Amino acid sequence: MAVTKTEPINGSTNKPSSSTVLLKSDLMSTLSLKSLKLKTKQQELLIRVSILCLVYVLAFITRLFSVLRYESMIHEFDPYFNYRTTLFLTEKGFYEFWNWFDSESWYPLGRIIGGTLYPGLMVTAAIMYWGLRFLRFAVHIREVCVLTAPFFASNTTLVAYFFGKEIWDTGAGLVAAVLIAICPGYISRSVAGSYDNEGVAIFALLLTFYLFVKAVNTGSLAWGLASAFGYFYMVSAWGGYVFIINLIPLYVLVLLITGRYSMRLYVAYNSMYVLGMLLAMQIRFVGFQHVQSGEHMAAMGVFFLMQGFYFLGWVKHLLGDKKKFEALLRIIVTCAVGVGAIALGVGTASGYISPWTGRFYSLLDPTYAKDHIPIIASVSEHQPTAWSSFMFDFHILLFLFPAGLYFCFKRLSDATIFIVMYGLTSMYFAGVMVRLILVATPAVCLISAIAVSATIKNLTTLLRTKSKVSQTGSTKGTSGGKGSSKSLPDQSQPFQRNGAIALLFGAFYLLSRYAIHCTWVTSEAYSSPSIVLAARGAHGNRVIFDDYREAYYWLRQNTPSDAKVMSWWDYGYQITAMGNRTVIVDNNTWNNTHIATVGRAMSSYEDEAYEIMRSLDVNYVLVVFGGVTGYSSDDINKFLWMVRIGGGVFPVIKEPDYLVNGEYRVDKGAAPKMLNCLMYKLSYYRFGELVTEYGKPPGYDRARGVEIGNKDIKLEHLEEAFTTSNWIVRIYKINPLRSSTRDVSSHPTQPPSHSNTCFQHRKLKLDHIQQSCNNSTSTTEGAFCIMISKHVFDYFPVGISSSLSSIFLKVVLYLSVEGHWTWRRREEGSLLKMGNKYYGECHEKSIHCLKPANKEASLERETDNERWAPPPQTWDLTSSAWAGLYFRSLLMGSDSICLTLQLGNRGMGPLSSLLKWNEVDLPSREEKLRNDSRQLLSAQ
Amino acid sequence: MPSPVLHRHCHLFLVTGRSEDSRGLGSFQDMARSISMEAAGPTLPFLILTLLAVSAASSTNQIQILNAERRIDLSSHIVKVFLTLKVENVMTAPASEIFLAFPPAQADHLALVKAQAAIGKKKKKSYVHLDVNPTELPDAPNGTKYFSISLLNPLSSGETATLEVLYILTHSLEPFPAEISQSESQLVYFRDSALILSPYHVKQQTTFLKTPSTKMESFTRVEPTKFAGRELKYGPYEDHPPYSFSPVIVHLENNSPFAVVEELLREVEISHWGSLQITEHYKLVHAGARHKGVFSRVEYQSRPSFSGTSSFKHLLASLPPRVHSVYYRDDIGNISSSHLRSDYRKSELEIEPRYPLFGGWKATFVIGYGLPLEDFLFESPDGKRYLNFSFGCPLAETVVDKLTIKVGLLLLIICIHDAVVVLPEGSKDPSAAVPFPVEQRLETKYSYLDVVGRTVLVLEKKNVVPEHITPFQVYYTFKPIFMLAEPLMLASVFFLFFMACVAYLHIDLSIRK
Repeated sequence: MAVTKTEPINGSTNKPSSSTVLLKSDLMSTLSLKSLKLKTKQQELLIRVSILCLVYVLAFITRLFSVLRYESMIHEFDPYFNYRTTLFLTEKGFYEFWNWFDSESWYPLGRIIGGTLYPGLMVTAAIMYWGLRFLRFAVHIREVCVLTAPFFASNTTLVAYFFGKEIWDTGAGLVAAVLIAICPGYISRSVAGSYDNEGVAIFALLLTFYLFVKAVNTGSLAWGLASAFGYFYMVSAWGGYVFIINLIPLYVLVLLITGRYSMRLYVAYNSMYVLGMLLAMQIRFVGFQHVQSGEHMAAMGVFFLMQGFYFLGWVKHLLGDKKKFEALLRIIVTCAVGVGAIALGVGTASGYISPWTGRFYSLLDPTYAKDHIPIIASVSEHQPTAWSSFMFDFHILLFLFPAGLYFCFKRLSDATIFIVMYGLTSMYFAGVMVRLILVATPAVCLISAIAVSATIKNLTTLLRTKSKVSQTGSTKGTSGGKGSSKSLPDQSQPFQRNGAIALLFGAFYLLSRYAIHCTWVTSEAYSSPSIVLAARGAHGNRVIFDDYREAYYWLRQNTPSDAKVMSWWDYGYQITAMGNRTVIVDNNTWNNTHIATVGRAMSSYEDEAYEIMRSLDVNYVLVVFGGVTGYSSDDINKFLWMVRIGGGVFPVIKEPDYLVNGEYRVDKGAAPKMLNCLMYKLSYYRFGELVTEYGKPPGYDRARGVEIGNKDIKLEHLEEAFTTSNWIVRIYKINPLRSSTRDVSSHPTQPPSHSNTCFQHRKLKLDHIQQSCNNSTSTTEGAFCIMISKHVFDYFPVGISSSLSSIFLKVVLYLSVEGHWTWRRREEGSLLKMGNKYYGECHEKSIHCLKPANKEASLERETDNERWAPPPQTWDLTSSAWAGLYFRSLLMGSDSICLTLQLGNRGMGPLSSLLKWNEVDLPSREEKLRNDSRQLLSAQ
Repeated sequence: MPSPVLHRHCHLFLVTGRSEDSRGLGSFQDMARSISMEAAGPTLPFLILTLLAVSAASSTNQIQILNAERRIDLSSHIVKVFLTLKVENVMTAPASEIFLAFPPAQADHLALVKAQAAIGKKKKKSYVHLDVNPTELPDAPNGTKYFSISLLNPLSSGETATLEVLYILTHSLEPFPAEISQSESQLVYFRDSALILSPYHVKQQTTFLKTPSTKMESFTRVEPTKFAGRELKYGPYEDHPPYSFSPVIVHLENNSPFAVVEELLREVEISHWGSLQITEHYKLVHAGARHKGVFSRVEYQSRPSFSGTSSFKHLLASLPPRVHSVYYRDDIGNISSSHLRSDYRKSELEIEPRYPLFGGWKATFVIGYGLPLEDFLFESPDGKRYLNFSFGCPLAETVVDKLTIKVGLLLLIICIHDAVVVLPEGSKDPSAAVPFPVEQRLETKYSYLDVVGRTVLVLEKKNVVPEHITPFQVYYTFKPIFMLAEPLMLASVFFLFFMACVAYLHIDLSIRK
């Protein structure tokens, strides 16, 4: 506006002046004009850049509530694992990390960390850490980890800006950046301290999409390759990459169907898919899934389809005859469909292409997990989303989203089709599972930004044209063609201007409400570390319950360094990271049976539980109890899930035993089994003596608001080792000396008479290994030694170039480890990935597992109320532990490796329970069959 | 009755004596051992081991102790012994040194020996600090260790002097039983001799033991012995020859917190921009009777006077005044239970470990704070700068087994009893003046934006008690220009960055025109 006004003024003032003045002022006017014109451009750039900078900073600082209110610490559960692995990575280096076999978790199985995680997050943090160190910033790795998520959130705002610019205009880009910077749906996963994969992954996801859309728009190979690298980063960071590899083919398919096929699309998709697939295979956890898993087949199918489409176009061009071409087309299509179907059928039948997993089913049918997979259903973030949480996380975006869709449809282009598809599919998934709101957030923000930007733009144009119309006479040259065309309908609606003003105010009001809501949600709901609890005291002061860390630090300082701690799996990562002790199960829920065993121990009577714990070599049991403080997410409230998960594998545990008329109670009216199970006893031990609330009887449980039913609890095999100051965490020590009251001689967990036991039948029966095991001189009880002799490597073709043989190795490893290293709970993208046989998604005819999970649990059960024998499922524990060692030895690359698991000091411990089980249950027919088939495979 | 233990103890002592003997060390002419039973206590073996070393050259004959009074304070786990000696020179030659003798077992636990002499008459009495140094004597029987007190004025013939000696023993109370449960109170053994071990003839001596409570399990009687209230009195004994020894065992209740810092690393970082940053890494352990069996929170909370009496949950650290930005944390994060009270004279930090410490339980933590530089850094007349800071552990009533201080320069770090003084970057020639022997070495440390690295002076000392909290000085030279190095570096980096941006905007790199 300033320019338009100054121009005529300058022009008019030079009239009455003399010639010299005229010359001078002419010079001045041209100078000032030039500089002013430049200035407007620069001003616009300056405003844009400074808004972006402010948004960048805003996105960062709005996530710092928890740091300011509590401290710079890691939150929740999974981030503790990520932190621990990052620490390991920075201390030991990348190769050690890649080959890390962690014996501190999943005792006695251990876990191959390097091969069962997405390393993107850890590597990112480590690189930032090393970079800062190199620049002589003496930061601690913890600070880097805490601030990783906010940092990437800031970067996401930049990507959102460019994405918005690509699909609409710069205004939409700016609005999108602002919206996504403070959107609660994204903040919930990216506050400072929430050091989880999603923090980095959303950035990678949006970057990949942006680069792909850019590639489609420009048809540039460079952008296509860039998006492939973005995809690679995404694959390395999060299991949610599956969404990308399915959405993009779907998008391409839609473009093909709607006749928007172009060379640009061909270049973009092919370059992205081929390079992206090859790169993704380099991530060990993903491996060959791009060519093997049913979930990735869509991308491959579309790839072939595009080649076919291109080929047909070429043939059509050559033939020039329509009829001939149609005939040819018919034949080709029939053949292609037939060949594709046969390939898919053969692949699935032979087990080469794995069938759809439970995750897929549960995405298509939200009730699937509830019925079939209790361990997934037990996680609150896997529940179907309620309307309230949509409102909570999106606020006004929820109704701006449809408006944005309207604008997108009005101006349909390749880019808007993409964002529409992204928005619609992700919204569906967000409705299926709470946590997937995260994936939908960028799309919702972008589409809403289009709505906001387009609306405001329209309204302001209305206002501006109105004002220009009134002074048409003076500003002829400057009011553009756009303004004059819009001024026509203006005159027909005289109230439009006022309406526009009102609407603008309304929009600003809504946007300010959104900002207020986001800040409030961030500060109240998403900025609590959950490891430190805060409450308001009687005088309004803040009371901090730091019981978790009190207990973990106690474990770390005052228990033997090789102690094994049993707890419900929620606390596994925290115990290993903060308590530095070995745990039986943790948040990586790859082995349902192991978790079920713990669930069973918790829900059994003390005697039976003692036997289970002895056989697992447990030294300490940790329970979380909120009865004193009124902390409601404690183990008693989670207990029914333990019963359900335990009962899913061990039918001895029946849920109705713990309920009275379908009601879950802990007071006098509770079920007798409930009142005497281990969890109840450990939670309420000596609680009956404590008065928790004034005016209430002793033993009043504040979390559930009842007086407990069993106040006289005696512990026979356990003793209280530590209880935190607010009783939130209670740790019990298992008495090692007192012998069982039962007949010991007939007990199945009796240690084997001779100790020179090696794995006998149970694992891959490579005879050579067995021989060397039998020859091994290691006789100490528990310590065992596996010689992997040169013979194992005879299976591998000699003379093949090293790279080929390493691929071969990879295949063998993949097959041998497959089926065991499955899933991390919150690794949403691929819950239940490689067919964990206990979950039920394992195909009945697949050679990788002979029996479906739930049936297996009941088929060969050897347990009843009287005795506890290792369930058939645990047989596989041996083979999987073995597989771990095997894997590791292969990685080390030497041909004769002796792996000795030492007693004590950080080793895996005696493994006595495995050996005992091995002794007691001889392998069944099915198992032999399976092992044989495996051997066959590895021998090929 | 601890008699079997006592027997074994004595026996061991004799054996060591014999082995010394067979090596033929020293120029003994005669060695007398007399074991006599006291008539008053027939069941009590009363043993006097007398080692008489008659040597013409020996200086030990020229002094005799007219009166010795020893007060042993057993009320905490740090045993403080106040010894008042009235000495007389019986020979003609003037004597300038007085020797103190300690049995080897005690000498290992000796944290500190201080001596002072009383000057003037009763009304105008004042005390003068005397130097005490460990020495060796050629005829030391049974591995006896010596400390020599250098007198200000040599003692001429027939003259007397009164000396006051304070020595502190650590780890000298042995818990017995070694493991106790939560409801039991802690009992400890204290072993010493009823007679003061001395290379001199002692005419008259008395020993008082101050116990923390009136509860006493047992004690060895060496008549005359008297126990009343909180005081156990041995003596007075008359006329005992040099090296008289009469082992006694006292078994008493002591519920004071046995707080021992196994390792303390103090890092003192000097920034010439105006602050002194101190970081202290503690490895704390309860060194009393080990906790056995159950820890019951309900007992601990509801019956605090009967349950876990020997445990402790608070510690008090006294910090210098004007302390700021205090933090208290450990490996897994901040510990929220601490309180800071400060006034213009001192600051007190009350810290509470995450859990109460029972016998054998450990806790590691870090305390850090900042101090204004002008209170601690001064310039000496010769142009050198020096840091004047206190040695020792700020925690009250704790023993530190190993202290390192690191002092760093511009950023100077000082490390004492494992203290580290980090000196600023660019500092040179650091040297420390500490009033007692410590180990010193130099290290290099890299902190924010350091290119050259900071000089770190490391001072190490074992067995540190609160009495070691005395000022020490670290001298170093430093050119103020080095202070500007890092700001200039940062400024130039930003300058180059903007230059690069400007250059990028003005260069057209595209191939097409």
